[in-house]
Amino acid sequence: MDFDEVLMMLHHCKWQQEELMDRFYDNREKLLADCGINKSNDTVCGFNHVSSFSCSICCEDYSAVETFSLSCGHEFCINCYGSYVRTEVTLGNLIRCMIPSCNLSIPHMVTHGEYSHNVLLKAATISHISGRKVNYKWCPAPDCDGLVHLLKARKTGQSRLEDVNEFEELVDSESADLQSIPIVLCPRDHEFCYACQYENHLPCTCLLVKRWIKKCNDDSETVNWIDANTRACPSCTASIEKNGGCNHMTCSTCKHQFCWICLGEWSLHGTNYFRCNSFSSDMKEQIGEQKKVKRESLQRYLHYYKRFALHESSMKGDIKTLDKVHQKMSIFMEEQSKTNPNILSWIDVQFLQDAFRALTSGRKTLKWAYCFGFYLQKGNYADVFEQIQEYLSRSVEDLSKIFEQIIHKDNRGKSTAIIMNQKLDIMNLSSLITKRRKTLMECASSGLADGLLKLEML
Amino acid sequence: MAALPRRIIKETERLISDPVPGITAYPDESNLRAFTVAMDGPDSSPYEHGVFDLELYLPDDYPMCPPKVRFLTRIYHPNIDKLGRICLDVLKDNWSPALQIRTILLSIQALLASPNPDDPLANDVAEDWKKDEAKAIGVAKEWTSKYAKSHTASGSAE
Repeated sequence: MDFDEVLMMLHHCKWQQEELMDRFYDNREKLLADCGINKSNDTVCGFNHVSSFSCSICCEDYSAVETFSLSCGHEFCINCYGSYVRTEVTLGNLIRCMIPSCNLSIPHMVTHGEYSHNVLLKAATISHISGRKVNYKWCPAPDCDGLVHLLKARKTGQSRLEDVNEFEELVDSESADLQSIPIVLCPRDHEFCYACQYENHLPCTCLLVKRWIKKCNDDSETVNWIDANTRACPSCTASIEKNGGCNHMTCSTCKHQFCWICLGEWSLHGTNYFRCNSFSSDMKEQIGEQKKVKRESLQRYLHYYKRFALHESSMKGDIKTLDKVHQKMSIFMEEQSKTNPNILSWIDVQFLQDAFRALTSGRKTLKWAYCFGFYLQKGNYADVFEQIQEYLSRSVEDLSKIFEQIIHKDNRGKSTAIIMNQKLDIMNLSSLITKRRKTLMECASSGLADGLLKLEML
Repeated sequence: MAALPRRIIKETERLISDPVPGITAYPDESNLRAFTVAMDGPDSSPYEHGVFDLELYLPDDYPMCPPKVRFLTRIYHPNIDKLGRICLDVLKDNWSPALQIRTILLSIQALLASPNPDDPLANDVAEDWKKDEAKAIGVAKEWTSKYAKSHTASGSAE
């Protein structure tokens, strides 16, 4: 058996090694025939240059042409065979001889002539995967072609995920069991949730993520604009956009007259147009309780959304910084290895990689903790959660700051020195982040499990 | 329009000079890739004595992809739906460039002779077929005389 034949047999048995072994030892002749492998015939398969050939596919009569045939001897011109292979290759099946009654398959290697790499194998892989969507997931990270193959659903604690199919249901489940959220790692180090195929969204559940994303998509753009361009009428809290230069505003909804600068009642300004010193704290109290609540819920959303968005953009900024640090480090290491190779090795700077990872995952957790916080009911334990989040936030910012300093333009040329000087700090901070992340997760997970934390599905 | 491939010219020539028994296929004058087909119902089948109209179209990729064939005459058959679409392996996955218009038409005629209710396209028909085959064959005969042209009538007209 040569490599190509084994490949064809595996392909025919849908890549099930055991099935292939069984069939091979059960009835070898039949298996070979089914796979379209011809062992007995001496006619070689391959390309030929022939003069005067009539192709039965395109019906052209050629005076000189290249042809191809398998060992069955069914010979066609290279144009027809080529376009046949190009059509068939996308299906991902073994490609058989064009004559329907002839079962012979084209070896994988032969299709290489048509392409620079094994397109047939790639197509076969893709069709294999799309037939088993439950067990395979493509990594959702941009430009990543990583694939995750789920071998077995993990069973921990109270989670009852025995069948991978249940992941589909998990996405919409109200269950607050964080242990059952299947976070996986793709071959290129991207973490994502196997159930909803979003990035690692712990401590949020899939359902929470879905609602949050929807809310943000529905509201965020409008809300951002409203926040930046309007003010709330002090009487009825309607959002007002100033459309002229004068600061004497009249609310179009409730006809309340007020000053744009201090939001105080206009009548108190008297005739002194631009003197807003009449503002006093009791003005605020004029806003009715009910109206306050309305505005408050928006403010509350904004509070969490802004921080969520902030960490998301910081994460992007961090990645840029980390790239630069990594570049500097690579250059430095190369120089080092030329001058005195024994002093530093890559193992000595491994801590940087760990720090990069800690920083990005710390940010991610912080980000989703704000989404979690938005849906969290107020309570003592919720305060504890926020306190832990605050600790995590502090160490993440500290580490981020160090990296920022490293690439700061004032420190040009000194960056590697800073890295080595701050090595201990960096290492401490990254392990602190990892620990605090863990604590935050545990707090959320156990809090939800014990009923100390409650989620409000708004 | 691009020149007609030699393969199609040759097939058309042969369909006309050496027609398949019980099947006629002529290309449209305006589009040589579109064919009007008249198919006799196979003997000793519920479609016997009926002549069924079909349309056949050769896509640009032909012969790398199969021709598109559809029944124009209404027919009561588990593998043919009310729009005339046909469920037949060689028209889909099992197509091979070595097959031809004539072989495809013969396969369709064979499908009329041996319906396959286990792989249905028209689910209601397939169910009737499985529940009471004799009755379903009765309906098929009735539809044949109702919708299909009479074989003898068209014969006498020519």
